[in-house]
Amino acid sequence: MLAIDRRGRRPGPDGDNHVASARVARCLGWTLLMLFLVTASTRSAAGAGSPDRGEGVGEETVAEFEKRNGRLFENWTPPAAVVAITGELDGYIEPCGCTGKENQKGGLSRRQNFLRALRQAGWPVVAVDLGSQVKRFGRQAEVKYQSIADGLRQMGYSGIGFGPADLRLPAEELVAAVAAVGNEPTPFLSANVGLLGLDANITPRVRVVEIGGLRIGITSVLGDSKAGGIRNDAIEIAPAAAALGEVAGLLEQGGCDHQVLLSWATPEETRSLAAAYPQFDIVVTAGGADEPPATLPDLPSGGRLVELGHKGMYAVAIGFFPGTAQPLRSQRVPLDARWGEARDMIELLASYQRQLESLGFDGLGLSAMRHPTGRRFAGSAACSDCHDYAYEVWEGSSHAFALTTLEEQDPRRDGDPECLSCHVVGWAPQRFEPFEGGFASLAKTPHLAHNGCENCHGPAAAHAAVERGDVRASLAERDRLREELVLTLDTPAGRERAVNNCLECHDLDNSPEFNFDDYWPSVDHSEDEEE
Amino acid sequence: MQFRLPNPWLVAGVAALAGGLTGMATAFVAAASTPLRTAAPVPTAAIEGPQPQIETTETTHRFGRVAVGGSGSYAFAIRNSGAAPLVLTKGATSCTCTVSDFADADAGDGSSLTVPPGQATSIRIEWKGKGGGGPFRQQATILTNDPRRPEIAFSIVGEVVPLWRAEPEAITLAGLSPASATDATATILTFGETVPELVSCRLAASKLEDAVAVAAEPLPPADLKQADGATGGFRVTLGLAAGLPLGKFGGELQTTFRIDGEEVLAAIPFEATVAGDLSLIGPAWDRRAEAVRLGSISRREGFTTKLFLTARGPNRDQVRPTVREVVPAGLGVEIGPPQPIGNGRLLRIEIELSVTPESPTANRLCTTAAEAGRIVLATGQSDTPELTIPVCVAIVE
Repeated sequence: MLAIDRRGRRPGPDGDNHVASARVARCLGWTLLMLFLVTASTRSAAGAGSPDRGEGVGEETVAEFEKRNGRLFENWTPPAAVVAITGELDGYIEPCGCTGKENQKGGLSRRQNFLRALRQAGWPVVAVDLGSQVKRFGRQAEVKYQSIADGLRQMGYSGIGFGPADLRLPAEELVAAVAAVGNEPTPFLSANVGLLGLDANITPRVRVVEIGGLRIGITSVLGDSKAGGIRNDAIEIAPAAAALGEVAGLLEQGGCDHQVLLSWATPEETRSLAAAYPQFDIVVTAGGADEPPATLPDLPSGGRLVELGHKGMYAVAIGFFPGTAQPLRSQRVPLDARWGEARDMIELLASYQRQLESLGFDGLGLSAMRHPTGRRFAGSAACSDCHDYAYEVWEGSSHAFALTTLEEQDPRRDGDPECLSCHVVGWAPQRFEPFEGGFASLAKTPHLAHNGCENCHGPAAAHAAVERGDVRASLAERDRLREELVLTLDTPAGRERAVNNCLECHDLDNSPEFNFDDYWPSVDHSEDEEE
Repeated sequence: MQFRLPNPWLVAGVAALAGGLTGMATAFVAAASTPLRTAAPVPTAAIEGPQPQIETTETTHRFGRVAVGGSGSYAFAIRNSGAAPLVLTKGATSCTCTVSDFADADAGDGSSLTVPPGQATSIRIEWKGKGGGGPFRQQATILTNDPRRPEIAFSIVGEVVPLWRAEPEAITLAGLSPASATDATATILTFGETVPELVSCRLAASKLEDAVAVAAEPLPPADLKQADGATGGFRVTLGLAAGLPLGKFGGELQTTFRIDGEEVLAAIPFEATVAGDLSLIGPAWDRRAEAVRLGSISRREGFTTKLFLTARGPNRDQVRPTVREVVPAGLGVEIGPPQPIGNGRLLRIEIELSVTPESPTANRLCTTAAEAGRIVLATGQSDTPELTIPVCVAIVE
């Protein structure tokens, strides 16, 4: 029998043996291909049910943070639905603080990975946010609010309230950020806050979401005690209790299984609203402690009171288990390094940074203010002529690379005034604004890059000019200029002044471990040290 | 015997389907059993033999109030009422502010402690009132070898009281009319041991220091009574004269006072925006470019968006806009009646922009090749009788 292979070719001189061995080889090849495909498909499909914790989060990290901050969702079975609650971001779009982020909590990127992990575990998720996306006001806060609103939409939020700081922004910025886009409804809502009036319907007053076989009604209010601080004719704010009375009917018509109230009010006000409207079984309040309670307190109405802490460091998940002995369970979720980075949120942050850079300091409305001393800056290099030992110590310290650390971030932060103010010379650290003659850019003021001598000792241009002989001054004037720049640790008052100076940047947010006595040796440049 | 090998696509398809189904089943089982893979397995083994048993009388301590920077500590009593040694190990603590420590720690790093049967010990938790004040809650977790209670959380709850607090924290006055004077107040509450003595009050770092009057006066006793725990305070008033220029300006309201032997500066950020009598607001309104940006719109799909014209100032009731001109002509413009917002100092007029299948195509995208379109309105208001709104839009098939 003459074998012809599948391509119509005749066998070679080895005849049947060759054909048999070729067939075996092909069979082996098909088997391997099949194995490969089965394995690849299995891994791919199984991966769809596994949490995406983001880049660089291994089991070791998870174990470490379970140890530090507790385990999550212990003994939870898949719930019918989960309400994931966040809020009080206060402008902290990244983990609270600048240094040692892995040890700090919060940030939009981790929040996205947390929500993604719930969804990838197959849990139906309704995400809601109490509000207060920003804390400050001004152009940077406006750009930040828009970026956060975009981020929350990307994360698939169903309900977002307004905090007092949000409502301090110009109405035109708020409308641009929160109004419906095309056919996509806006996730922002409020029972008693109406941008351009309650009847303008820029944002709805309630929303009912159907998920996991449950109907969940959501609304939000701004407490009366907070409404008084909002002075903007384009924003109508109704009394909270009356507004809830108006929307109660809408929620009832929605046939809700559960009702969520996002109350940006003091805990006392929120409790009072919850007592008046006991149909809300999940009541979220502002104004709690930095750390939310591990177990949700019960309200007299039978509902649960949710606190979120501050700066977006925590989320709270509430799972519904209808028909079980424990129909509602909650989990406080620290947004720690277990949740990794989400690429889409990193891109959002990069876009935010690009907008800041493109606006520049002028576009951000930052006008240089007069330094309290009235003096101007010389730059650290000017100090090196006489204070060579101190300069040498400074050069070897992290302070001398402060701006570089911002340039090396991903995305880079050297155009962000909130970062820059502690990484260059001549800015007010807590106001994020430059002093007259302070750092403007690397091109214009390279001598003021990094955190230099004058940030602690004060502006030294006049002192340096006199010492160099550029300006003539009397001996008394020379001594006065010298004296103005002296910081001493030898007196209680001097030490307090020095420590307070450090705390301007090494504050609770950015340097929670800061202790002057521990940190000082690494930058100690006192004269007796020189000897 | 000869056999034919199956079609490779068929093999691949069957293999992929089998793999996919297996994977989905695995995923479902994994998700159902270990959601988020963070759950620790619960010991299910039967409890046999002598066991330790932890007993506590309380797990939450309410310390009341502490000043910012002040500290405190509290010892929680623990007793082993079981029949085997109770081993306590330090678990997660919520913050460095809270430290759990053992009174009689085992040798070593002091992170564990063994309590013999029938004996008692204590867990001391220390806290420090850091931050800007407000409610305080910290927690320390202790792990135990009591099989009935493997973990126990001790909480410290209270309030950290700052030396002073401002309500509101910042003053922002948005959308002021240049024609009207206005004022704003803030309250500074102090929580020191002595009544504060006013040193000065000024608006700092503002471009318009001369146009803003600032005053501070001690809080009347009646107001002080309502402020929870405050021992003193001031009412600070900002008065803004009429005739301020358009734009944004701000600064810091700085009140200096002497309290408990030291001089303290309370700074309240301040910002005001003075706007023209007519303003546009809407998702399509580009405030910086001062144009409506609609982009490319398919006339087949159609499009509708809302723009709002707001009117403020003494002549706001005169505003009754009508359409004078629209370019491109295919852009529909409908104007609604004026509606007062809230207190009525501002009127809202809705302008609906639409593109329909009947709209002719046009390119007015505000580029060098396609100049901007426009909507021209007759406002009815004497100061600004006509308003031209630039529009960037292309109407395509």
